[in-house]
This record gives sequence, structure tokens and C-alpha cells, in this order.
Amino acid sequence: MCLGIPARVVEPVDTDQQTVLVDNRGHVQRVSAALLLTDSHTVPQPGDWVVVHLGFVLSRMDDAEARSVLASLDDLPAEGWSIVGDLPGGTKQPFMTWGRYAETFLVVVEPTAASILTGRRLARLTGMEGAPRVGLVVNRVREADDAERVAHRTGLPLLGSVPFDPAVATADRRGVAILDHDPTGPTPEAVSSLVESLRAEVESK
Amino acid sequence: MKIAVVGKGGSGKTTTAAVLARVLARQGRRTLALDCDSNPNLGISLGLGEEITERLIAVRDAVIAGEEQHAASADEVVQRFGADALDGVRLAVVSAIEHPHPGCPCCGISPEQLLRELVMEEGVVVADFEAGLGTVMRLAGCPVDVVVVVVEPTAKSLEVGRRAADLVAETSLGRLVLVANRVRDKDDVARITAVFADLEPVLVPDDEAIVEAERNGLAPLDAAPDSAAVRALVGLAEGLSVAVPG
Repeated sequence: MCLGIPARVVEPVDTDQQTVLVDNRGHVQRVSAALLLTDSHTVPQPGDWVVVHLGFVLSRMDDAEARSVLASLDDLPAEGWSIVGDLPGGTKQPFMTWGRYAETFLVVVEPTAASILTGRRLARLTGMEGAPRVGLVVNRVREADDAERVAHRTGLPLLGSVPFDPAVATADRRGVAILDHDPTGPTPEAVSSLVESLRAEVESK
Repeated sequence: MKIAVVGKGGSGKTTTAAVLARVLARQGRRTLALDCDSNPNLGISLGLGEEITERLIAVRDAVIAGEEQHAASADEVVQRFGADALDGVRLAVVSAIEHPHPGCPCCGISPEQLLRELVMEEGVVVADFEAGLGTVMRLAGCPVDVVVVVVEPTAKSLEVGRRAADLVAETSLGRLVLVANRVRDKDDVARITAVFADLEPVLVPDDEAIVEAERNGLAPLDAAPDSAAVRALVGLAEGLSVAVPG
């Protein structure tokens, strides 16, 4: 899931660098205005609302619309629905715009040095406002002790693990979901048991 | 020479950038490797190890926390947020940070703008960018010498790569080189050529030696110099060096 988020312009647009400083509920960031500046009639002024998506201003937004979008995000149904947001890779998005909307973070780590380093950075999510539930899913497990080792090194509680599965690479090459490509294979099986663990964990609270 | 490495997440951008940087440095060129990812890991692929890779992030975090001064120039960014890697490569972490100071050379400009401002002359800079197409859009108007688009033979990766390649051509960003990673068989080659009939991709075979190096936190160039995948990337680097002298 990748949505644009309303943010407020803080400083006049830097038309030379094509950037603008915006405030997304206290999170101030410099974003590119290049896409907006192709139409010079729409240069936003400080105080105006704009839609920001992954570092780019996509468009302007009027005051009522911006407030209504932010209100709807606050009102995302939590009862009776399961909302799964697939955030961009890395460590930026969970802490920035999306952190406050999630109750549970699944940190997916593979047993490589770079991925473990990333997992360790994401372990800080536990300290965020609202104290979200943060669990570890170890992916592409090849050795018996991979999952435990990653849990130990990231400091995250292990919620589930998924074995290395060549069928995933084949499904990705064909552009089909692994659930359709190999419904009874090791990956769907592992993810099903992850869902059960997650449900048990949620219900125990 | 300025080289930008772009592509979808997980396609092997960082591994590719690391091998390019070290091979170009081995040829005696002053080489700077820029880690532009907001989750910087290039140090590990360069062979610097986890400790130094993490220390570089800590320096960046200290600036965010207000415990460290901001850098006053692009050169100071390279010095303060950098470390010396093997073969004479200088690594600098220049990823975007939270709460940037507008116009500040160390945080108020994008990695793309920093790449534009760096004066390389005889030297080489290899910039490992954030996943996705944002970089290619942000680089528009500041051409580089070579744009390396990295793909793997999956439907999604090829689609992102195709869009990146088209954008590079439309905006005349630089010479386009396509690297196809994790190529398993002739079906994979067919998938790649079906999408990129107009280009001659550098084919990098799927190679367990790379997986093993990544699991051990080692540079593939050190852990598996003779593996087929590393040899393919070394070949690309040597080709670039010949094609763009100086």
C-alpha cells in the first residue's frame, strides 16, 4: 500500500533546486517539487496543503480535503478488518508517515548481514509512541539455527519463519502470487502458521 | 566519471555498486562510493564489515540528534560521513535524513543534488541509490556518465527496470547499462530480452557464492572472486573503465 499523505508547506518553494520544505504533523522534510513545477500556475505557498508521496509533491490539495483525508486515516477501521500495509523497503517509512497508523509491525529479515543490520534499526519501532507490537519474521531460512540467530542479533521477538523456497523465485518470474503458484508449498504453509501465531498473540491481549 | 546505480529493491543494486567501485579503484582511479539509501548497507558489500557500517550510520544519527555539527560543504560530507574501504575506495553515507536544514550541504539537499555538485575530474563516483524510480526523476536535468539499471528476471523487477530505462532515455540522463542479476536459465534470458530487446544486458548468473558472502557479511569480491556472478560484474566494471576514460 502506497498512498500520498497530506502535508503543509513550511517555506516558499525553492524554484532553483525544485524542492520545498513540508510539515507532516510535526515531521518536517524536504521533498522534491519537480513534478509540481511542470505547471507554474500551481506553485504552493507556505500554509498550503500538498500531497506528498515518497519524497515528491504530487499535487496541491485544498484545506477541507486535506483535513478530511487525515481524519479518514485516523478512522481506518480497526475492528473486524485486517489491514495489511506493505511498506517500502528500508527503515524510513515505518518511522515517518505510517508508524502511527499500525498496531503491529512485522519486521521481515533474511539471514544476511545487511538485513540483520536493518532489522536491528527497525527494532527501535518498539519504543515508538503508542508502543506498537513488533514481531520478527525470518525469511529465506537455510540453516536450522538461522531464525534463532537473527532473533538474537536483532533483539526482536520471533513470530515466525519462512524457509528458502525456490518456488517463490519461479512465481515472481511468472508474475503470479505464490499462493496461486504453489498453494500447498512450504511458503504458504509457513505464512499460514505465522498468521495463527499473530492471531493468538493479538487475542491474548 | 559519475555512475548512478538504480533499480527495484532487492535486485542487487548494492552488490553491483560495490563491485564496480572496488574494481575501478583497483585500476588506480580515485573512487568515491556514495551510499544514498536511507537504510545504508553499502559498507557491508564493500567489505568494511558491520561495525564500521554501523558507525557511519551513528555519525549521521548524531547530526539528526543535534549532537554533531552539520557539514559545511560536499567535501566535508565525504570526509565526515565517510570511511576508507578496501582498494582505496572512499565510502560516504549521504542518505536523506529526518528534519533536514534547508540548503545544508549535509542534509538539506538530496543525494541526487549532491551527486550533481561533486566535481570529480579524474576520479570516479559510484552512487548506490534508493530503490525505485524517484531517483531517476530527481536526477533529470543533471546528467551523469553512466546509469546502471539493475534488474532481476522477475515480472515486477523487469517492469520497474523498463520504466527506469525509458526515463533515462527520455531525459538523456547518461549512457544506459542494463545489469540482469540472478539469471538462472535460458527462460530467464528470454524474459529479459523480451522486455529489453533494444539493449544488450550484462547477464549475472544466479550464484550461491553471493548468498554465502551476504550471509557472512563479506564483500562478494573478497569471499568469492572467482564466482561466475562476481566475474560478470568485474567484466562490466572493466568495460566501463575502457569506455569512459578519465
